[in-house]
Amino acid sequence: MKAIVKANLKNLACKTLLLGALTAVVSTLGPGAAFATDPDNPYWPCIQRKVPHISAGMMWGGPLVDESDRSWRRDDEVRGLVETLSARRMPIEEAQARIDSYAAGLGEDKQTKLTVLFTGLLSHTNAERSDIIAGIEKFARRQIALSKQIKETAAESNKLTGTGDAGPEALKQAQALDEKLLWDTRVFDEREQSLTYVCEVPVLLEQRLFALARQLATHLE
Amino acid sequence: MRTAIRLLTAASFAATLGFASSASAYTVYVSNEKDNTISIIDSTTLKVTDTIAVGQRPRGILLTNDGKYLLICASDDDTVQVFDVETKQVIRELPSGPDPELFVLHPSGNPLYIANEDDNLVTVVDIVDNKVLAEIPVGVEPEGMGISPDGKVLVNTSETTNMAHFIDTATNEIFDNLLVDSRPRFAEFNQDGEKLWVTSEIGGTVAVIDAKTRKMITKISFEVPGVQPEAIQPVGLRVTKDGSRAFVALGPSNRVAVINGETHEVEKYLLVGQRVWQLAFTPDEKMLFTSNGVSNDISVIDTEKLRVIKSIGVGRFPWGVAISKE
Repeated sequence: MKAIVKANLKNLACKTLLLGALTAVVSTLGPGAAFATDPDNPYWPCIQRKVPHISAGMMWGGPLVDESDRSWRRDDEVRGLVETLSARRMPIEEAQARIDSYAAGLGEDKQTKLTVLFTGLLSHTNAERSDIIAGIEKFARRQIALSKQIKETAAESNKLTGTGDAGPEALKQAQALDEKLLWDTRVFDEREQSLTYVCEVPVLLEQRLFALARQLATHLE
Repeated sequence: MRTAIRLLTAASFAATLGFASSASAYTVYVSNEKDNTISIIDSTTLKVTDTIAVGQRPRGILLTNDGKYLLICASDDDTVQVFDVETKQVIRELPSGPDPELFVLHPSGNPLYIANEDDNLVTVVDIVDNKVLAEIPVGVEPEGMGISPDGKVLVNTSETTNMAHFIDTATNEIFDNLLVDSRPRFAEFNQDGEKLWVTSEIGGTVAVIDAKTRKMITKISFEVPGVQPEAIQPVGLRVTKDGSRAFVALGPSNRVAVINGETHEVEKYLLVGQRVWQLAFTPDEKMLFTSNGVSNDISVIDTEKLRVIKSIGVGRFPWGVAISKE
């Protein structure tokens, strides 16, 4: 593909067309188009709505919990369970079975213990999601910066060759700019493709927490 | 023998859930927006019995009055599909206009009124003759569709204009408008035709409107302990036949609000599944089915005990629910 593009660049007429097309593409880049449409979150690039924080009531119909309560960290067994159950490498069915066996071994304090476990899972998931959301937004800012750079390079190249009477030096400079343009566009596109999966992660974590909370709740009735 | 055991198990399961085994078995249809399928659930066993591939991005669904066909808004195919419930096949398509999302059938069974989000139109389609009867210009991004029990008044809500448009079905013209809260999503009349309910997703409210005077009676707000207000987004709504209760799907708060139909007070919030979207009663109103778009399941609510009795896994992004009359 790159070879074909390079060959085309030797032909000034083709090059003008290509640059025109690239310019058209990059002119659509930026916070408004390549990124999501939520005006409240201009740096949120995902189609999925940004949900910065999962609150207890969205997941849990059991007793009210204090989200800031960190006492679950002091209980070794609960802390270990929170780590194990939250890890996405453990199939959800297995995690749910672990909850069942934990609940089965509890006595009179079952309700309290299960609530503490939920608080731990909520806290752990929110912390993990916050990191991922911050990472996605950092990524989006980098993409915006790159799209700006692509636009500038395209404009610069067009300026050099746009009149049709460019000298050899101008053509040489323009060719260097075009190669940079192609490279940057390719990097931009590849990053955009990886975004599809990354954007799924906050939702996957939310789904997992809900499935775990629902399993915990079956032992409260 | 195996069938007998299965039937026995199903019957005892239904009994455990508190439903007499003599209760009618209804068929529940669910559109899975991301999988391009329809899940079919047996209301007695509460299990998925079949999953059928249909058009792209199926969202709003409803059954024709004779119960023979399921109409499916195949939004990305810009069409409404006619699905034969007997043969479980799409047998034809209706002209729908672009991006059909929600629709409502005239109480007589024909025509069909379709909201076309991209075109700011309501398309009126004769489902027998397969033709467009009229196109009614409405507000920006039409969405919710409700029709009065006598079939004389059609209500369409437009998401961006934030209005309920009242349309005379005899002339297919708007005769009144009412401003409601931001992004109205769904409209439903009481069976006696006295009240109209309109949900507002961003506004976080439900408007209760006097259907005769078209004036606001009250606006219901919601407050769920432990849930941030912006997650409370009313979408689907259903009112019991006697008007005593309304159930409202509150979107990403994962709750269904139970509202007293007389006082308009919220009686209870039920935790269902993630991003609860649309609702449907069984004809006897003993159960309410909710589509949960993120947890990819259907919750079943016992409407007497006001408890969630079952979660049924379906396809990805379940959107619409429709239930057979028998």
